[in-house]
Amino acid sequence: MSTAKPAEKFSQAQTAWLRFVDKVERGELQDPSGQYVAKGTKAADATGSRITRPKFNAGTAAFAEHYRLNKNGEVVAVPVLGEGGVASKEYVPCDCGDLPPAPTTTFISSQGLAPYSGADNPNGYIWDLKIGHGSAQGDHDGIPSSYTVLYSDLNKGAGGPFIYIGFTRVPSTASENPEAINAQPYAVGPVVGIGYVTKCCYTSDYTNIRYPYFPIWKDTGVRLGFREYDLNEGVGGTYIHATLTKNPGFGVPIEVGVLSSNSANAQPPAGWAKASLDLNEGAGGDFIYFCIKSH
Amino acid sequence: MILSTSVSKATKQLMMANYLNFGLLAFIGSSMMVWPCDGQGVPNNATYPLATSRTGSNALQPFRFYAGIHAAAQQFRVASPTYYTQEVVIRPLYVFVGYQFGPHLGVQVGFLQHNPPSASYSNTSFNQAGQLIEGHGYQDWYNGAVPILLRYRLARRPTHRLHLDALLGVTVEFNHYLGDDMVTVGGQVQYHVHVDSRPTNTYLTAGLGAEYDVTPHVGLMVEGTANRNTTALDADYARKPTFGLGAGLRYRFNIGRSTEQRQL
Repeated sequence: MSTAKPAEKFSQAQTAWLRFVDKVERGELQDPSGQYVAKGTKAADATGSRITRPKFNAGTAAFAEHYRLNKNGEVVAVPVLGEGGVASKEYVPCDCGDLPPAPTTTFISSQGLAPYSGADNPNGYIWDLKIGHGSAQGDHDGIPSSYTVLYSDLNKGAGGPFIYIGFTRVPSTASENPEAINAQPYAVGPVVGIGYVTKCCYTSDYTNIRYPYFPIWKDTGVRLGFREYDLNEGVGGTYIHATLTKNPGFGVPIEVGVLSSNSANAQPPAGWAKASLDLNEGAGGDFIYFCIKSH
Repeated sequence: MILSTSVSKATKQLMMANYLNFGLLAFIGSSMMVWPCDGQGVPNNATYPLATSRTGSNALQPFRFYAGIHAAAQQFRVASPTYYTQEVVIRPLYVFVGYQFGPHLGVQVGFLQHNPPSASYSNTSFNQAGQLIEGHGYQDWYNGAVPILLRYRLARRPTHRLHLDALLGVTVEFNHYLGDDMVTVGGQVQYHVHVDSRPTNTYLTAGLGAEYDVTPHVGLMVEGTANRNTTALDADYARKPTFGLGAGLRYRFNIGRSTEQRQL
């Protein structure tokens, strides 16, 4: 009994947190700290200088100051005296309770999804990845319909559009990426690594920084017209462009996953490795990480 | 004829320096001195540029100084003793100020720079042994250039509103590259390189421009230039010419009283 109760309580707390984030995203609640905002909220997109939003890590004192569980077990964002979402230390009295919400993590991966064992890819490796986005949940403009989408929003909690990553294991349905059209080496094959480039809009200044990685493109349907898509599109923070490599000299085939949490310390299941960069870096919302697992 | 002499000297200097290709480019640019001039309305004793008014009247204005701004992109190959030769493009603006010695010849100093935001990367993969490979790094660039150029109007008498200019001089390029790359395998650092390179390269610069004088003060310009690195004589790649283009405005003016006013 003594071990079951905390587990049950913890599960309720997680559910309460997820419900809180969902309500903020739908505009039914507001987060005075400014970390979580309604879906579609756009940050000013001034070139070279974007808005950054605060971020509090579950399990820390700062998080506990801003988020509490009330007596009904619901998450309450603590009102603060301050403007523009900038928290001061003077909190407005509220029925907020004393306990902070628990660290809450969701994880979704490609493992076991859309298996394939055709002669052109008998081991069913992931053959390509794409980034897609949309204004409504589930929209994934940029990911071909033949791809499988991991429905974990890469802008979770930060406003802006919904952004997803999709994959295919079927070589014949993989998009013909610009690097393949340009006959660059290792442009076609199983994905063996995933990465990021963080930069502003001057893509031509750092053409070599991502070598030997290529962009994870948004498929526009236009030959040689694929786009690199900012994973913080519309939400401010750091410019993040996802990359992948198919060069077998840099790794073995992988599966991919997406980890979302209110804690930067969240870990994926055993066997998975969490990439280092928060995909919502500087943009508020959840801590979101790509994860990989060797095939 | 002054032009022929100066070009000849310049060409000889180039040949002496064994910059045959570049000298040829300068010669070709300078040899295009075929712009027709009739000298209409120009006093024979004019000593510096005279521009006619839009109506073609004798409202002649001598100007000693000028300043300009171009939308421009200049390419350079930057050699460094501590890093690879880099090909950089400095954009988008080029500003310059100049002094006019006489009707044909002026000297100008310019400045252009490019300072993009830094970029970083992070990669994650597994090796055959199942160890996690992580790569991290960043790059930060700064490039600035100071061209010091002679500007020679390719016309016997500089009265036409549309004319060509030859450019010849040196450009000093200041580069700062800050980079860091680190690869860990299974948490152990396998590779780590940190570069902080601050080379200064000097280039021989030649070019050709066209200008249309909208008013006596203001001219619309387009220019093309070529740069050849004189610093890295042992690096073939760095020595290959690079090019630049610009288009913009030039404004001519005097500081204090004009010569005419002083004569009065």
